[in-house]
Amino acid sequence: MSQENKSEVITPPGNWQLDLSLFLAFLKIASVTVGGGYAILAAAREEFVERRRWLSDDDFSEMMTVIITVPGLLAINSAIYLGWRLHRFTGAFAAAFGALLPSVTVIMLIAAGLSAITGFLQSPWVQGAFKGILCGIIAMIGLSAVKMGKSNLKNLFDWCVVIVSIVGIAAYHWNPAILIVCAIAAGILKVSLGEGKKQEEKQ
Amino acid sequence: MTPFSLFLHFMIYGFLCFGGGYMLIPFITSDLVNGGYLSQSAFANLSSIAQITPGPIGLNTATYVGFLQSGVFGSIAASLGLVTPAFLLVIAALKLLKRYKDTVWIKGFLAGMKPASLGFTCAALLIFAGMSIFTSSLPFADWFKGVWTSVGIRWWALPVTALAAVLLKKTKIPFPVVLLICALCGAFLLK
Repeated sequence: MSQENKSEVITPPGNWQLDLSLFLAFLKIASVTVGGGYAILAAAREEFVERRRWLSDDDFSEMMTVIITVPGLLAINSAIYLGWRLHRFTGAFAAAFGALLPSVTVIMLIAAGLSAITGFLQSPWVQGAFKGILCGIIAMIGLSAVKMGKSNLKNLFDWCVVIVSIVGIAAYHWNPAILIVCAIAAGILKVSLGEGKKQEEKQ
Repeated sequence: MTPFSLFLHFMIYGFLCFGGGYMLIPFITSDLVNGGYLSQSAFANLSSIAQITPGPIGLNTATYVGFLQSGVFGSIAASLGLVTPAFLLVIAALKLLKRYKDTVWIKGFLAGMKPASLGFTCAALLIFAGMSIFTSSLPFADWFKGVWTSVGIRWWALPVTALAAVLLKKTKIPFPVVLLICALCGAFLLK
């Protein structure tokens, strides 16, 4: 969290209106995105970093590391993380409830046997619309990846981790859990070697 | 299953789904399908529904299975069960991160996971491209072996993506409106 980033960040007033806007923001994000986790994250970045400025780029990168590592669904984890950071328990509940509501409602209606909904969702128009939304989501994820790249790609180590995880997931469908464990182990190794060097230089 | 046992089952899945919602699928097949709580055909149905609806696949599964087992309360119990561990784990992780932020462990964790999370984001980008811009997922594994497998391109998706990027980057139009424009373009051009 660097100083110049911090000055841009707006701290919202901690009252019930904050809970309401967290609920509405996640309700909106979860209703308009298709594709789950990473799509919702890109939308959340657009909403909370670019527009409302409640978080800095660094805060968002830190959030990504936590919610990917902790077991659970990315969408819900990110809602809980943001809600808790901005307004503790009530914020976390409000945000998670907003993120849950749209898909729980739609799936309940489908499971209740409303075959009209399934038919509607399978119609070529709706499927085309979903593909169109995915194009928009690709643009959104692409823009956030560029922003993340500017602050996260500082040395050869970073580039290696990025390339290995892209190839591992997109090409070879490795289990992300294994990649997470390897990335954390490599990071700890790198930092402890770096600290060792610093101490040698001091001596 | 009663709503209470659904809650407990899905709470265990919530603790175990390390690496995102897709990791739930093996647990569901081994536990619920083999245990006779969910038929093979209902599971296949569920997978196809999860692909055509918004929302996280793990949550969709919980709601659907919960409803088949015991109605609206079952749905709510299963979904709440799935997200309960996340509350405990995310908040615990935030506290640990704050308390131990100057240790080698947390510095190393951030050093490794920051680039990895960027990598996962880029991988998600490629996977989504395989569902929209291209007609199938990109066969990188073949390409790395030197085998040329061609992929169909939906040409109309390229200008739609470019339009979305320009609108998001250069204008103040809120993203739900941008996505709505994309949906309309898609309905007419990509169906």
